[in-house]
Amino acid sequence: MRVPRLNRVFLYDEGAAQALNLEEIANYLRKKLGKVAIEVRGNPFALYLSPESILDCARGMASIKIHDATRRMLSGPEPLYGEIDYERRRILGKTRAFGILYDGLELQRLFFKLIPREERSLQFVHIFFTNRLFATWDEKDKRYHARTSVYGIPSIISTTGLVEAPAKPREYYLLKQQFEMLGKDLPELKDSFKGAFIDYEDERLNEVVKGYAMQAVFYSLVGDPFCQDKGCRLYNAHWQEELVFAQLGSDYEFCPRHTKFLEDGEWALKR
Amino acid sequence: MGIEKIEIKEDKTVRELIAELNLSSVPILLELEGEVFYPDDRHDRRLKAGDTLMVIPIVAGG
Amino acid sequence: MAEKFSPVGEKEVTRAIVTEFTTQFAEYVECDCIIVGGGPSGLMAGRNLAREGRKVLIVERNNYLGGGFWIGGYLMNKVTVRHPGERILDELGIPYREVNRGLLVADGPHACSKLIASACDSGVKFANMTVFDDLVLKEDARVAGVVINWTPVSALPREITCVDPVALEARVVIDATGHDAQVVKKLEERGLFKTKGFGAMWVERSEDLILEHTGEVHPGLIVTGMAVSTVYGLPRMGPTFGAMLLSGEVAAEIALEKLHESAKVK
Repeated sequence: MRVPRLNRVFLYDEGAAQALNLEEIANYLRKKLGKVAIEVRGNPFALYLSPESILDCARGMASIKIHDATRRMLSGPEPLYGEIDYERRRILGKTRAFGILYDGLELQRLFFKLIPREERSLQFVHIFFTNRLFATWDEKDKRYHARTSVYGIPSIISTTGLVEAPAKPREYYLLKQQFEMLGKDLPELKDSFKGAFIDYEDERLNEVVKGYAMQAVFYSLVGDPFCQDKGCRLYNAHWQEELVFAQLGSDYEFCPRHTKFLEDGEWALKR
Repeated sequence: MGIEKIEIKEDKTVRELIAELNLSSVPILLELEGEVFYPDDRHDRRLKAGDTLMVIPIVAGG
Repeated sequence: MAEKFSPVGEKEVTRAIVTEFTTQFAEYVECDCIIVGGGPSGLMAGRNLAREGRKVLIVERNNYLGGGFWIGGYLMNKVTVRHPGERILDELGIPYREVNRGLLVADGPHACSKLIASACDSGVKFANMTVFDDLVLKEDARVAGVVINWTPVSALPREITCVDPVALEARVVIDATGHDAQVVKKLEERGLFKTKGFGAMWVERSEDLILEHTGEVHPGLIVTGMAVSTVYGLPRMGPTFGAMLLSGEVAAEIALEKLHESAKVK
């Protein structure tokens, strides 16, 4: 287990859900990480991208859309002008409309270019919060799977992924099918499962994101963002029920092992 | 697979190292001399005997 | 006393129809904008363009206008619009009821009639029972008009019809043909474009994305409404019309910009 000295954590807003409060996440991380400086940066494109390269970046974004979840996107078709223009408007912060599915690893690769060279190190944790939905390819079952997050440089946490990626209760999907056949309204269906899963504009979103931000921190510290303990915030939830329990319902925040690790504080860069 | 430290025993390129470690289809980053990069951005970069390389796996959640 | 109709003979009636039709048709052989598809997005686009003084012709293959806006899902004639679409309903004077947070319901026939009337009042002209056959392209592959024929002609086997279509010119063409994206498909047939086919259903996201992607897809050609979904491979929508109306509005804004730009160049 390698423990680099953690220098600083940077939080970015790449069009995340409007309900997300980055200052709240930053304050939480300050409480947990003590001596480590936490910096809230804004739109990463605005910080680092020149007007000339915005179009290039938009083209890059438009090229990594997933059109068919059962087909690996190795090199996509040339994006259309309208697709590039949509991405350009997103980059410029003119829209936060979402609904496109992206290749998560390619997205991370694009975001990597936005990080200054001198900050590309495990000493720095870069977390991009976005409402883009992304997926990664699973070679075993030969399809893309939507994700909540991808950890690397940077780590990316998707507020849409938190809603869509972990599976809802089975009964929900069966009922949804019936609702759709009868043309019934979906909010009615969601009301009957109230609280059982994280939804858009959920008031619990910030609390949930805190746990995922800590996953990104632990990834940098020990190379593993996850924990097997279902009650630990580092648990890698694949079901909404697990997510809600790990982030909101457990009696403890972190398991004894990870609590001790945080308390030791050896991982922070001495100032 | 967590972050792994690799001591380079003999001169080779990044491409050769990745093939040797059977990591060509595994999403990873590499760190060398304080710089993090994607292996295929530096395919032909020469690694010298004695270099220490960190292999950083990219991990997805959910 | 009973109403007495004026003593106008059959030939005067026929002459009136023919003269008026051909005068208008001759006038509209060249327009600012031709919209293919007389559904909700096409009607909105046409209405908004005509209100700005532009010469607009809507080509519609059916006898009736309005597309699917007469009827909601599953042949039930209530149409739904999600917020912020109520702004358009208010503008058109369409009565509606909010049945759930941000979900409004109107009578299909009333809504559709109001929209058609508004387009007519704005000065839009129509070529109904007219089918889009092909595009007119200029030397630089810019879309410059449409080729049309009578719908009944195109429905007959080629072996027993030899009725040539005619071409109309326009500075901007709008594809409002719905799922089929017929106008864009003509570009695709020529290898000038590649549509992505519409994606899986994600109702909650589709309307936002349709609005975001409404715009010019090729010089001289704007796409609006469900055709946007087909062009860009966006998630499919359920039976709700807010995005259709707002997309039409956006298409008109973009068409106005393009018309303004092309006037400056001249």
